[in-house]
Amino acid sequence: MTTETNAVAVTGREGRVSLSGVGKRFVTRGRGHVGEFQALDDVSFAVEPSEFVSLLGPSGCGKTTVLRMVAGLLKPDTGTVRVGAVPVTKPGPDRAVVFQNAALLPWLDVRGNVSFGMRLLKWPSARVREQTRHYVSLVGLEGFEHHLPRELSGGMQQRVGLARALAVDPQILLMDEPFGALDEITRRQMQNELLRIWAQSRKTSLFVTHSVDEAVILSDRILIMGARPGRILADIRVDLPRPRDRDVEASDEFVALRQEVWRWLDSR
Amino acid sequence: MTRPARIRSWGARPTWLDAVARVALPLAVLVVLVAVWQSYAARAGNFLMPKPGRFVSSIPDVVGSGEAWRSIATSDLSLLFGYGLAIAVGVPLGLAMARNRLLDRVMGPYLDIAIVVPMAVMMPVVLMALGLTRRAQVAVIVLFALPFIVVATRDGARTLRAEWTEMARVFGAGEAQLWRRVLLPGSVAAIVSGLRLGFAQALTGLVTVELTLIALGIGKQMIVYQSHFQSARLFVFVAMLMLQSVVILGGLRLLERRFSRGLATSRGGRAA
Repeated sequence: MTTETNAVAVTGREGRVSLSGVGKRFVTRGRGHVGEFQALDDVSFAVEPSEFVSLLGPSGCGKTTVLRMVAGLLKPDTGTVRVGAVPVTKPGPDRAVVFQNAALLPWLDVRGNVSFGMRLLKWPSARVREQTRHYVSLVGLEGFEHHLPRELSGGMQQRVGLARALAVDPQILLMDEPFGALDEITRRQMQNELLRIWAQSRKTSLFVTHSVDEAVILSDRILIMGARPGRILADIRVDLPRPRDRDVEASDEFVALRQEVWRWLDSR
Repeated sequence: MTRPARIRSWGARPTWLDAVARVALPLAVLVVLVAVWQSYAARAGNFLMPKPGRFVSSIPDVVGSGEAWRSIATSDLSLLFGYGLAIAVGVPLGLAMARNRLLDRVMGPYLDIAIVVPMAVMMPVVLMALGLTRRAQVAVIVLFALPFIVVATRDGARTLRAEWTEMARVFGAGEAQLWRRVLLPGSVAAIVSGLRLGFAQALTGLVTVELTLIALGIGKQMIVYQSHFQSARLFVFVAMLMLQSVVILGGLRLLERRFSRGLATSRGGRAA
């Protein structure tokens, strides 16, 4: 399925995301005063090709800001964001985003939403159809092709968002708290789905979350961020075996990792 | 066994009663109005006021006469041009103002003025510039309808969620694609409701200009009826005009409902 699309990509390390010395200030405007808020200060890290990295931290630590910079929606004040060797200046087809609130277009049905990115890229319609069918079934939404977003549950909407991102076959998958708005049961189901789907494609992934368990079960590495200013506190390698399933939650390694992550978060 | 049925009927009233009330109450109002009309017209001194009976008997005269229809067609042509022009300018302008803050700042004040100040005050100005012509009529209609179409479109397009445009940008949409794939389809409901408001305004503009300054169609016809003391025919003619606008506005409202249904539920928030 990916053989022909991979022809688009050149060889080498184009799937690598790297940030060096990235800083970002936001201007805050209150009543009668204008302040500055250091959202990020000297953030440097890299995501290797086929690696799943989570950004974990309290709200306001700038994890979404980092993701938006990699997506090309936001420019850093200092430092550079690179994909491969190329500095990121704007969104591009090599990166796709799964949004926190799915961000589906309400007037398009499931199929229309899943194919949205491919249509913007002006792919031939036969290919669009085939990819759409493939990814709709990959995320388990067969039979719902003609449903509108409002007829779907939150979890199903998020599946559509995931399918839309995967369907354009990006090198890099960016996920901004995609399961943050879901109830706990649905959330676990979606995590399992993501584990299963990710195991098939092994896309370079950057995943923003504020759930410790979610970060541990999904990631190869967890970057723990602190707030004021937003920065990276720790880089924790998760060496749980892949393919992974829920059984690892009972393992000693999982419990130890979880505790280590919490120690970093509690220390602030 | 009867209990569940009784509980259900207790909660929701029988629908036939609703239907009767819906038809009967407006009819009752009509009957009262006709009675008031009859008694008022029957009083001495009201010789110009036709009785309801004469009104009814005049219907065939007016509806069957070519000149009534011709005058309506003449005016409707102005309405069509003016309203069409207002749409062609107003919808793109409204969308552009929703998208571009600078344009909104520049145009906004004039739009506010145009909404607040009755556009009828502009009619003498238009008349001086364009004379007693159809062009002047069309210009007046545009002046009436345009501000409402622009404002409704702009306000509707503004409520588009920022995350939709952001999402489209992430997936590589340029400005043209953004308009075609997100802004326009997302604003359809707002545009249609703007069209409805604009039509009511355009109609007001037409009638105002026809009755006060430039009588080319319906205004001319009314003057004919008045000068011949054909008050019953005048009444029928007015009723025809009202019927026409009610039908067109009703159609636009149906259209509006159709388009807003797709968006209303999903815009407010996400269902769990």
